[in-house]
Amino acid sequence: MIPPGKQSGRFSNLKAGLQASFVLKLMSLMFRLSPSFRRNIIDEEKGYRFNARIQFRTLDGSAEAYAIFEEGRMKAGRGRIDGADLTFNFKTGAGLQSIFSLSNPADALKMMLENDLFMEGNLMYLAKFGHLSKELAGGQKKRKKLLRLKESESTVGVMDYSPSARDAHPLVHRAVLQSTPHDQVEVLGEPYLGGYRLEQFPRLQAAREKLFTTPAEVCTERPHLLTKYFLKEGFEEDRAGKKRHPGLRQAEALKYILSRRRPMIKDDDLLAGTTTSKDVGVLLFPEFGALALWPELLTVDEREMNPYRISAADIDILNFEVFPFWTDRNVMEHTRHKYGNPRCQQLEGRWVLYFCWKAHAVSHTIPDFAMILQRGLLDIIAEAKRKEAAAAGEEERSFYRALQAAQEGVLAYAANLARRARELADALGDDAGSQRRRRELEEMAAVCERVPAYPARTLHEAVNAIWLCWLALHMENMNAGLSLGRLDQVLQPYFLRDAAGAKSAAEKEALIRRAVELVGCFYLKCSDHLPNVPDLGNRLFGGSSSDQALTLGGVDRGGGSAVCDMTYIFLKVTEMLALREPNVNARFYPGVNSEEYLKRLIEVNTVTAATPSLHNDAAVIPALVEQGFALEDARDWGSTGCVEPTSVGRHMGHTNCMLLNTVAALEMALHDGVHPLVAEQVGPHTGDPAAGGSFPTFDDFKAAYKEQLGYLIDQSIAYNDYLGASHQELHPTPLLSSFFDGPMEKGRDVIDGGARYNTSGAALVSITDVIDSLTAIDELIYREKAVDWKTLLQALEADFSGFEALHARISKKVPKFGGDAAGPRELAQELIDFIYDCYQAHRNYRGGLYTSGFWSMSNHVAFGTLSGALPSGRLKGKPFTPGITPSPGVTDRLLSNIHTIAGLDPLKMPNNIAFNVKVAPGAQDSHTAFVERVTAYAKSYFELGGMQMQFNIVTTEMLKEAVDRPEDYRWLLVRISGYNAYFVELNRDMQQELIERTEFNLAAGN
Amino acid sequence: MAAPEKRRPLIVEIKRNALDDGPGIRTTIFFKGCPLACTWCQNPEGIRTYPEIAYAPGDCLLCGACAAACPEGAIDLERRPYPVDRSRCRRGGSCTAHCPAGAIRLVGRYYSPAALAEIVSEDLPFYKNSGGGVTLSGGEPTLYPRYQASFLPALKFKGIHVNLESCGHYHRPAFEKYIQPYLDLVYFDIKLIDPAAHRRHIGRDNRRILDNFTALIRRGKVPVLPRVPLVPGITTAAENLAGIARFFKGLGLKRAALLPYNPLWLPKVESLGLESSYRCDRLMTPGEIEECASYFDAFELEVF
Repeated sequence: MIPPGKQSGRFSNLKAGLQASFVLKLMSLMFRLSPSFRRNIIDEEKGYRFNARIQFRTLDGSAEAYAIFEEGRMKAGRGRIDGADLTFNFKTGAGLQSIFSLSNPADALKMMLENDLFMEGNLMYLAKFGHLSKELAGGQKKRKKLLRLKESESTVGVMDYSPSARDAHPLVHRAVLQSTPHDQVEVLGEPYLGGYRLEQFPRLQAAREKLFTTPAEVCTERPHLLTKYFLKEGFEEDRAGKKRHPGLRQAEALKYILSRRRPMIKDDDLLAGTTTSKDVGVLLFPEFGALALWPELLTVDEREMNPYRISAADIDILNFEVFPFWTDRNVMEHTRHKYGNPRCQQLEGRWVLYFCWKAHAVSHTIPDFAMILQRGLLDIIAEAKRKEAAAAGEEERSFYRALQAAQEGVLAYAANLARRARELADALGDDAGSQRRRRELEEMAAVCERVPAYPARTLHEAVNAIWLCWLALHMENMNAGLSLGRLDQVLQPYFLRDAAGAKSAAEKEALIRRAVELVGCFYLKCSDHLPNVPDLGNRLFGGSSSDQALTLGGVDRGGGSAVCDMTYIFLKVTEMLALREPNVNARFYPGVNSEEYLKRLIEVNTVTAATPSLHNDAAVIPALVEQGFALEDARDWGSTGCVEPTSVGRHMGHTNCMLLNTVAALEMALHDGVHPLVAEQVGPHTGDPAAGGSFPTFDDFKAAYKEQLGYLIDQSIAYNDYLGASHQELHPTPLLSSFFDGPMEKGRDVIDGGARYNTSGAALVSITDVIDSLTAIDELIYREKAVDWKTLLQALEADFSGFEALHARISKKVPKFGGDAAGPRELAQELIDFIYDCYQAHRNYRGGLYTSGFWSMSNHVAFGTLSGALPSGRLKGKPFTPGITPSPGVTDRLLSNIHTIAGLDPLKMPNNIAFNVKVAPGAQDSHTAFVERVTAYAKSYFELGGMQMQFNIVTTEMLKEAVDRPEDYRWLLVRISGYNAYFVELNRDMQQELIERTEFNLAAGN
Repeated sequence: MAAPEKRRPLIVEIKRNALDDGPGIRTTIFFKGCPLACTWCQNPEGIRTYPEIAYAPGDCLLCGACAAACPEGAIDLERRPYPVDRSRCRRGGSCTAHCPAGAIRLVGRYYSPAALAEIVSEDLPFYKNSGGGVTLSGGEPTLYPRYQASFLPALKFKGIHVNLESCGHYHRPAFEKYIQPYLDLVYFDIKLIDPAAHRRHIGRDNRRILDNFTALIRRGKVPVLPRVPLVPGITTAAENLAGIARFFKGLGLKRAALLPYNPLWLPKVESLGLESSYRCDRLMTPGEIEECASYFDAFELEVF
C-alpha cells in the first residue's frame, strides 16, 4: 500500500516519465515510417535539417525524458541529456504527463502563462515541437479536410459569419446635432455633416458589410516572398559569401516583395492596393513573432477565440519553407543567443512581470506623410542619391542606397497597380454601371502613375499616396501600432485646393461626398488586415487589432486651432463606419478649440459607443516640452498605437516598448522578493513582512516596494536595450527612415538613432491596484493597527476566505484612489514621480530618454488573472483595473474620478494615460441633452488638467446580452485601455472586466 | 454679518455630481432639521436637527463590534430591524467607528460655512461648463438663516448658481434678509391646499407656506419653480390638485413641476429605527401621473 500523499508524487512522476518517453518514441517511429512526416526534420531538396536536443523534466528532476533530432532521425528516451537546446521545466510530474496525453494534450503555452512550465532555450523549437505533436495527432487528416473544403465554406466555428447573421448598425442614437462653421472650417457649411447617412454611401456600406461577414485568413504572400528572397540571395552573407549590410539587405528584400506582390484592386474600391492578398488577411512577420503560429497551423481555424482560415497549401508553405528559415533569425532568439539567455530575458519569459514588445515590432511611430505628399518619392530618392555620392564611407553609402532601394519597391508596386487598373478597366463592358466603374479604374490608374512618385495635387492622389506608402511600411514593419498621425492636417490643403476649383454649390457638395468616400475607403482598408495573434495573445491582447492610431484636431505648430474641414470629414466617417481601425484619437485644447468641436467629439462617442479617445493638448504639449521637444514640434503630436504622443514624422518613440506589471513588484515586496506565481527569488531581498519587525513604519514597506519595482524596471529596460541592438543587426527599417525627418541628414537608420527625437516609452500597468493596496496596508497595519502583518498575509493567502470582516473593512472604510480622500491621490503622485525618475535615469540604445505612461492595453486582465489576492481587497485571479482608472465601485460619482485623475501631474506621465469612463446612455434623456451633459464633464476634466479620457457609452445590460448572443452584437465597439475592440472577440475575462467597470449614470432623473 | 443661530446646523450629506436638483451638474447640500413632519417624508433623516444613528442591515456582518464598543450598552443585534435602543443611545459614535463594514453610521455633521464653501467650490468647472451650481436642500435649509447668511455670500462671490429647495415654512423677514438675496432659483413645494388636510398629514397649518409663496411670487426677485409632490391617496386627491392649480393660476403662474411618488424612502425610515403611518410600496403608473397632470392642464398650466 502506498500511503496517500506520501509516495503517490514519486509514483506519478515515474508514470509521467514513462508516458513522455512512450509518446516521444512513438513520434520517432512515425519519422521512420512516414516520408511526409520525415520532411519536417529533413529536406534534402532544400538542404534543411532540424537538429535539436530537447529535454523534458520536472523541476526536482524526478521525471526526465528527452528527444534528440539529428540528421533526419529522432531518438527518444527517459533520462538526462547534455547540451539541450531547449528544456521544458515542469512544476509537477502531472504537468509533464499532461502535455504527453494522447487523447487530450495540454497546451504548453497556457502552462507557461500559468507558470506550471517554464522553458530554457530557443522557444521556436518549442513552436516547432508543438507542430510536430499536432502533425502526429492528425496532420494528414486535417490537410485532406481542408482540401475538400470549397472556397465558400469555412471551418471557422463559433462566430456565425454567414451573411444572414444580423449585422445591424449599432446606433442607439443617430447623430442629429448640427453646427455652423467655426475654428478653421472653410468649406463645410454645416461642419457636423448631420444630414449624412451611411445608406447614402452604398460603396462604403457594402464594404463594411463584407468586413463583418468575412472570416480572417492567414496570408503567406509577404513571408513567403521574404523567405524566398533570402534563400536566394542570402541573409547573413550574400551569394559571394560577403557579409551583407543589414539596412541594404532589408531594403532589397522589401523591394523584392513589393515588386513581386500581386497588385490587387478590390471590387468597387476607390483606393488601389492591398495589405494582404485576402479579403481580410492576417499579416505574418516571421522575423518577429509569427513562429508562435507554428504549433497552431493545423488548428488555428478551429480555435474558439478569433479563428483564422488557412489553406492546406499555406500550412505547407509556412511549415516547410518559411518558419524553418527564421527559427534562429528572429529578434527574440537572436537576442537570447547573442547575450546568453540573460536574466532580463528569462524573467520576461515568465509572463507575469513585464512584456517587451520589441521582440515583435518597433512600429509604434508615425511617418511624415506631409513631406511624402509635398515632395514625392522621386525627389526623396534623388536626395538620397546625392547624399550617397557625397558620403564618406561604405557604411554611409550603403545606408543611402538602402533608402533608394526601399522606395523603388514602392514605386514598382504603384506601377504594377496602375497596369492592373488599366487591365481591369479594359475588361469592362459598355453598360452604364461598367462605364462608371471603368472611369473610376482609369482615374485610379492615373493616380498610381502620378503618386507617390510625384507630389500629390488632389485629395484623391493624396489619400492614395498615403495608402500606398502605408501598406508598403506594413511590408517592412509589423502591423502593430504603426500610426497615421494628423491626417486631417495633412489632407486639408488638398481638400481646399479641390474645393477652390468647385464652380457651383452642387460641385462643392459632390466634393464633400467624394472626400467622405475616399476617407471611408481608407478606413475600411486599414481594417482589412490583422496582426497575427497566437492563441496565447488572445489572452494577453484580446481583440486588439493593429492599433493604427489616427489623430485629429488640437492646435497647429503656431498654437492656433487646427480643427478644420477635414477634421469633420474624418469624424463623420468615424461615426458612420464605427470601426475598430483606425484607432481614432482627438485632441482638444481648452480655450483654443471651440466647444462646438468638443460637443461633436462627444456625439461621435455617443453614436459609436467607444471612439474617438480624447486628449488634452494643454497637458500633453507641456509634457513633451519637458522631454526636450521644441514647442512647435511638441504641438505637432499624434497618438501612437494606443494613446502615446509622438511628434509626427520626426520622433522615433517606440512608445509601447514594454508593459510592466506594477502589482508584481507588490507581490514581491510582500514575499521578500519572491514572486508567488514564479515561485522563485525574482527581486532583491527587501525583508519578509511575516517576520515581525521587518518594516517598523509604513515608509519602510513603501521603500521595499519601490526597490522591487525599480528592479523590474531596470531588468525590463536591459532587455529592451538588448532587443533594440538585435533590431539594429537584423531589422533596420530603410523605408520608414526614408519617410522620417532626421535619417537623411544624419546618415543613420531610425533604429540607429537617425530620427530627430529618440525616446522609448513604457506602459505601467495597474498602478491603481498598488495605490489601493499600499493605502490599505498603511491604514490597517500602521495607522489604525486593526491587523498585523501576519493576519493580513494569511488573509491574502486564503483569498480573504474566513477574513470577511477584514475584507469588508478594506472595501468600505479604507480610502481608495478615485474617491475624495487626499491620501491615495498623494501616494499616487509619489509613485508616479518615482517611476518617472526610474525611467528617466536610463538612456536607450538610440541615445534617447525612457518615458513612463499609465495605460495597459488589455494586460491588466492577463496580469490580473495570474496574480493573487491583494491588500486592496481585490480577490485572486480577478482582473486589475485598466490604465490609471480607479477601481470599480470606489465611487458612483464620475466627478470624483475626474478630480482624482485630473489632479495628477502630466509632466510625470509623458507617455500618457488611459482613463476609462463607462457611461450609460440615459433612456430618458434626449440625445442633445445627453451629449451636452457629457461635454460638460469632458470640458471640466480638461480644464482641471486631465490628460486623456476615453468613453464606453453603453449599458452594462447590453454588454451582458452580447455575451449571451454574440451573433447579434458583431459590431459592438468597446474601448479597452487605449485601443478599440469588438466586444464579442474578447476573452471571457476581458468581457467580465468591461461588465464590472463602474457604470456612471449621467441621466437626470436616475 | 449675522449672529449665529442658537443651534448649529448639521448636514446629512453633501451630494456632489447631483443631476436632479436643478440645471446642470450640481452639489446638493442636505441640511438636517425640518419644521414640518410629512407622513411620507422622502428624507426622514433630515427631519430632526440632532445626529442620529442609521443602520443598514444589508451591509451588516453581524460581527458584534458595535455592541461591544457602545458604552451605553444600547445595541443588541438580535433586535430587529433596528438594533439600537434609541432611548439609551447618546449618539457618541463609538459604534460607527468600530463597524468594519460601515453598516452603522452617524448621520449629521457640522461644517463651518467656510469649510462648506470650500468643499462645494471644488467642482466650479463642472458648474460653469454645465450651467450647474449648488442646491440647498434638506430637511429645510431656511431653518438656519444666519448660517446661510455667512455661507452663501462666498458662493455668490465665486459666481456659483444657487438653487433653494424649500417646503416654504420659514420666517419671512429672516428669509428675505439673510437668504433670498443670494438665490438664483427656488424650488418651492406646495403639497396640500386645504388647511385641515395639511394639519392632518403634515402636522402644521399651511397659511404661512401659502403666504410665503405668494410674497415670493409677487416680489418677483428670484425665479421660482413651484413643485407638487404626488403622494398617492394624500396629495393626489382631485380637489387638492385642482385647488393647487387654481391657486397657481391666481398668481399668474404658467408652469409647475410634478414630483411623482417614489417608495425609496421606506427603508430609510427603518434604518433610523422609526415608524411611519403612511405606506405605499410602488411607483406611480404613467396613467396615474397623466391623470394628475390633467388637473393642471385645465388651468392652462404647463406641468412636467
